[in-house]
Amino acid sequence: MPLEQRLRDGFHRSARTIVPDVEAGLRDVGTRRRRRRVVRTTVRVAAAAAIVTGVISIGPSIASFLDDNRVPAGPSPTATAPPGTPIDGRWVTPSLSRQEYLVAIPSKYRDEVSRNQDVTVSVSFELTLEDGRWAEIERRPDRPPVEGQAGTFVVHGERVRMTDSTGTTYIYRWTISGDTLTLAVLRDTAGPTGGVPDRVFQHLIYELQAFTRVS
Amino acid sequence: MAEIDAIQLCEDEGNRMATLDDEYAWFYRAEYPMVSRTVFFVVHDRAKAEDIAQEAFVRLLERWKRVSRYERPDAWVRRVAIRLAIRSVQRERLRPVLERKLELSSDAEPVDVDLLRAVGELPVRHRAAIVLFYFEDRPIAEIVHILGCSESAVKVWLHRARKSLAVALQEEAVEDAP
Repeated sequence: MPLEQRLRDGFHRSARTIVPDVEAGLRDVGTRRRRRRVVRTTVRVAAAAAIVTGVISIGPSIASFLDDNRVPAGPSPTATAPPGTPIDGRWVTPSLSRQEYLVAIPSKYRDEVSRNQDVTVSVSFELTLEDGRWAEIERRPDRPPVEGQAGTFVVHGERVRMTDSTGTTYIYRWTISGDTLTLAVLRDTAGPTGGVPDRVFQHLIYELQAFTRVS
Repeated sequence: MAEIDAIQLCEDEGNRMATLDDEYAWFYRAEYPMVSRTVFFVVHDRAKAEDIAQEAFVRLLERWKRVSRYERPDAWVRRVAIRLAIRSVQRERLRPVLERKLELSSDAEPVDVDLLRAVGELPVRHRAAIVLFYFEDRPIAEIVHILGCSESAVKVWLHRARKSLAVALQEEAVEDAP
């Protein structure tokens, strides 16, 4: 058989054995894009590593947070909660410095997360929960706000199930103490991004800092 | 009144996004399998191929509004995917890539493993050119666009790749191409 024919036949026979799950991929591609929007632009890995080296001693030790089973105490809705579910409202985290952000990324994922994401400035996250709809926004100084995840949510007792537009579901345990909302990720059905488990991003956005009610 | 306007704006935006997503989803369903197969023949690692193809489609989605107006968005996404694949192979060239298992599904019909191994031994750009030419049946002009190089470079790569494959597979190379 001539080489050219063998090449064509060989490629096409092999290709028929590769059948990717297109629908799962389509859901995942949306999830990855949202992750990019959470913290965008590039950062030099070397610079990031230098920053990490400088602040590692003062940063929170969360290298093993993936195995962390801590859950907050049961919900304690306060009198300040508006009508709707106890967690309805607009919530914001304190501003997270780039150093704090970097050290919050497990070291084995740090390069990959840093490759495409903006850890060059401080960031705060805003969470709006209202009438069954949820939206997350990131805010940085001197930059326009960036829309992150959004979708619908349902509260069941001390748990809240959030579903984004691609059908990906996240379940969190929530606690309110005064005007502070704390979330703990219980379930995350999103696939990894560039080898980084989605749980890493969930931790950075929702768990790392408590939210404070602003309205 | 302002509130009604704001709601209308949100609905308009929602409708626009829905249309955009539909178009993108259609394109994704049509092109993703082929792109991931092409990347597989370059990186020889199924999981990595799908991840690279996925990354290319994420970048496409981020630029969909602009790229969808291009004459050949399929060439654009291949260009990104192939470049990522080449970079991935170059990063791992210290690892014995060919010793990694060729991951094919268990119910695969007989595949020409010798051919895949021989292709895998080619320099990565030669490999990409061969895959685009013989697997995707892309004309030289498109391969030039996808690989971002000159026409003469692609012709040289194809020629050298055929020569290497002919020796490795003990086949006679017939220049059915430029």
